[in-house]
Amino acid sequence: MEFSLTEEQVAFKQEVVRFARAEIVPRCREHDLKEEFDFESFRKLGEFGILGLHFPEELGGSGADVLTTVLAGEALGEAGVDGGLTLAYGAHSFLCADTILRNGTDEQRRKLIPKLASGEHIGCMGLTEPDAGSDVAAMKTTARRQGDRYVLDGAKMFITNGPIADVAVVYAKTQPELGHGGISAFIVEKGTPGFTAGPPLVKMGVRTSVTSELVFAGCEVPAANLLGREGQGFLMAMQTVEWDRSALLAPFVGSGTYLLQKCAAYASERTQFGRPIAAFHATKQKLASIRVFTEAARSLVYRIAWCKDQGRPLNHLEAAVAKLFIGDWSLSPINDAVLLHGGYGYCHEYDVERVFRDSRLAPIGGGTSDIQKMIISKLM
Amino acid sequence: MDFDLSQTVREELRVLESLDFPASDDAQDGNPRPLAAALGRAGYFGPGSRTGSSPDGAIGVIAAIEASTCRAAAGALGIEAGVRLLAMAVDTFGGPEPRAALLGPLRAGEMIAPVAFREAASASKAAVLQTAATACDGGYHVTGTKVGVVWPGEPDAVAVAASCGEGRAGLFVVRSPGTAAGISVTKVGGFGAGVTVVRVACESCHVAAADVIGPVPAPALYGALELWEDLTLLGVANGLTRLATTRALAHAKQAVVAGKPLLAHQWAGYKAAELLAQQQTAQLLAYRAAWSAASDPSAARALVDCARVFCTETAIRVTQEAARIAGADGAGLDADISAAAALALLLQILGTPVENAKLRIGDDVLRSWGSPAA
Repeated sequence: MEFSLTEEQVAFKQEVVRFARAEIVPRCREHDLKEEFDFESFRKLGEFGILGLHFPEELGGSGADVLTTVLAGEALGEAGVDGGLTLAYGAHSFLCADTILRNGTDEQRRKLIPKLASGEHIGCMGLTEPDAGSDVAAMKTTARRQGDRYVLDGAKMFITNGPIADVAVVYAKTQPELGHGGISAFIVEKGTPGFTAGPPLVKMGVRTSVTSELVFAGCEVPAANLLGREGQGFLMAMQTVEWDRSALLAPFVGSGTYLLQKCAAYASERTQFGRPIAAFHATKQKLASIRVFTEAARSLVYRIAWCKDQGRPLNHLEAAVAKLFIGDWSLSPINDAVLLHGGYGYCHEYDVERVFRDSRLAPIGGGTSDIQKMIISKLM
Repeated sequence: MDFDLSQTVREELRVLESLDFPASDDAQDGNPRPLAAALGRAGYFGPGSRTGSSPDGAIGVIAAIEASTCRAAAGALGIEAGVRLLAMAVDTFGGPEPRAALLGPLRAGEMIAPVAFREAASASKAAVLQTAATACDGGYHVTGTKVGVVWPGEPDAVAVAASCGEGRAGLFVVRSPGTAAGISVTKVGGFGAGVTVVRVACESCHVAAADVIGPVPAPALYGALELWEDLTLLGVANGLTRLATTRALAHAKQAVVAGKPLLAHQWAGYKAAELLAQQQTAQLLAYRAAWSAASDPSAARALVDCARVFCTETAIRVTQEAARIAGADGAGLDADISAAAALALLLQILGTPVENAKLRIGDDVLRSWGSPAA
């Protein structure tokens, strides 16, 4: 075992933190309050190279490994970038673009990946349905082959980037009788007749990401938009799980460090009973709970990334452990951060309130904590 | 980065797993010697990687302690506190005489000698230890009181940490502490964990110069003892967590309730999943802390404290939750879980007490990101 980062990795992470603090963070609070997606920040992520970090250089990416990609996510969280933007980035780069990168034809990749890497196009993934969340096989959206086209009918729910996406990777059943084996994946582009997005949902947190329903009503897409072969959709969806359990968790780890910075600064300035509240044991205990969680979570996320870089098939047990831990065990330390700020912690101005709201997605998105427990208990 | 255990550590663990642990060696019967000797013969206490001086060796030690604790919980704590800790101190700080006299017997597991380090008023601030050693009669007179000393059986000696003045300190080895003049040992209980914990009071207790490890700069000795003690407790805590998880899982797979294995019932399956998640997280954090401690001890203290808190609190939670899965078996028939639960409670106050570790972590955070004025 060896747990150190290389000098290049440390320098890269610091560079991302600096960039995010200067270019992104000053815009977060306003957009969160307005529940608006920040197109400019998203474009800046693309310019900096984060959106396409792990894509091949010939397709507009940087060819980075997974650990470096995870470090970028952690750095965004550490800088104080809101969970909405990091979620939008994750849905775009990992759930949509990476699926095209891995499974698309050369033509599909050449056409779409460079624009997704730069942020010129925004991507999303349509998997979850109103009545089919973790139970993917229960999806009702269908894709019927008609000559050189597929006709999609159905609806998708809770789709991050749904209302603003230029490109969607959509899962639908081409052979419903086959269950998982009958699911296929399609590229659906904005403006395709029969494809509409619902209005943004009002959410507890991650408010700068826009989430909506996607509706497919006789939506015809060229047969050339099929990703891979018919019936491979479920496997593709499961591939995205690897990102759900690594890079998408990384900003939560970074948020832990961000909270420590905010809490330490506040505790040093805030005076009660004649001395800074930093002098009180109760304050130090709260700082400790945040730090302990952050260190524990960091180890888990790095491990998943490292395994992925080794080319190992996803260890579902380890991945579910990481997702479960960060989802469930983050509540108490983040709550401590709010409590440390007292009344200010309940207000938007000090950001911990936003981090608290954003963090509540961790035990839900990408497979709920209960689903992770189900996975683990079956693998034990 | 590399998240795989090295070939060396894997091989050492394989040897340990295949070793017969003497059944009578659980410290509950007060005799740790057969287990210590069996482990000593297997090279458990060094030399080589088992001294924990290299990053890989440090991980190996933590992993070995975890594995031993899984086999004989209280016994493992007894021999770690009673053998390895002093062996590491002698190896690192000992001059020729104590090395010649102590290192061989300790590594062979033939000498039991706990280290008496912590004091009531300075559980987490070694710099202010009060116990003092004064040079006289070709040796030293040691005076002071130590608390929270794990006392395996009837040890051959006890190594008392004391300051010698001018910023120097040493470990003063009092032989035959049960009968030696100037030293008294008082049992203080230990949550019924099967481990004897004592208070050691020295009053002008004479120690021959040949039995002194040091004197060396006090911060170096105290810092190392603190670190090793806390790392040992991480390994023990993770061993208890693994033991409880393993036992609970075995029970949940075997016991049939309402026509299906208990594990297939959602409440039990989900609870078992939580135990495993905590176990894996604690293990990884402990390995990382051990690696950091060997790589850069001065920078590792905060991470070791984080691991100390997390692993100990995990052991407490997991042993209790495991008992719920095991049901009546957890409380009675499967005594391992109840013993582990009791021992986990004890761990929180040994070494750097968990609450003190939290304050130290808080201080570290404030140093990093707070205002210096605060």
